[in-house]
Amino acid sequence: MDQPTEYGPMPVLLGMLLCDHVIVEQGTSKKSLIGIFDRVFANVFPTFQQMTVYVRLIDAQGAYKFKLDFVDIERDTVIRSMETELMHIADRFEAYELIIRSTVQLQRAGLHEFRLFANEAFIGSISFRVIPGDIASGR
Amino acid sequence: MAESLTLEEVTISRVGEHRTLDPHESQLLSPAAQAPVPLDTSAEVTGRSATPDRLLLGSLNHPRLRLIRSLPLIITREESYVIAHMPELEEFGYGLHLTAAIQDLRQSLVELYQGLEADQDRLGPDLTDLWQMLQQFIRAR
Repeated sequence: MDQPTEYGPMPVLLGMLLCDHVIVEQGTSKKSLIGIFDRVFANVFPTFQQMTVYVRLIDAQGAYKFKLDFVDIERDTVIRSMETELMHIADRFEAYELIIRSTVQLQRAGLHEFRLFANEAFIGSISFRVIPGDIASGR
Repeated sequence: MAESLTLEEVTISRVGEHRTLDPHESQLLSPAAQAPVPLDTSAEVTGRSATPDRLLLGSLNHPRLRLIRSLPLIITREESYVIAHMPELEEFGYGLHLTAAIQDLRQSLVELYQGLEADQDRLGPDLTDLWQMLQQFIRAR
């Protein structure tokens, strides 16, 4: 299968988490998720936040393009959209991990979300809330 | 100033049991484990609506049930609610935003599947048709 199709096996999302960093152990390739969070405190806006989206998938087989939308829920706006190159997954019984590291500029408080699509089909999301306040008490 | 997201790195790796660094225990290592591989990506600033008119649903987000193909949904907004409508089954999900509406629809589909599955031996003709149609989209994992 060379082209992604909406009728291919849909990956099943085993997990999707938002964290500060994912550390990959040299040699074993084991991942450690550091600083899992679901809210961000900020005293001033705009604020820059480095964050990593960790995704674990299974049941994918064939050609896939993954897309990640960064969404401001309250303004109902997709701020940024990222798409991977076309990739092939051979065995649906093997789990795969996507690690997406980014720096986000947050303009205002409110609910934000990362939405994950496989071949244009929505498969899951992870949200976080931006709260005005002391960053020392935050995430 | 517009909000933005700067991608620094996107990687993918195959997961595997890979539990030791000790070379004397290398037989415990599985060849399945894979170091993360950088992926080429493209990114764009969109500013488009986060509530599209149409959406493909690709996952039920359920531990036992999975979709065997993506489901076309029609998305509408009514006052402060978003409605996710699956025309093939006339099922609806409601929520304050798109993800909430989709989660509500997923829950409806799971409950419908589980209800019909439990009673499949005593369904009337209409519900038997519905059960057969549902099985075209949803399977147990």
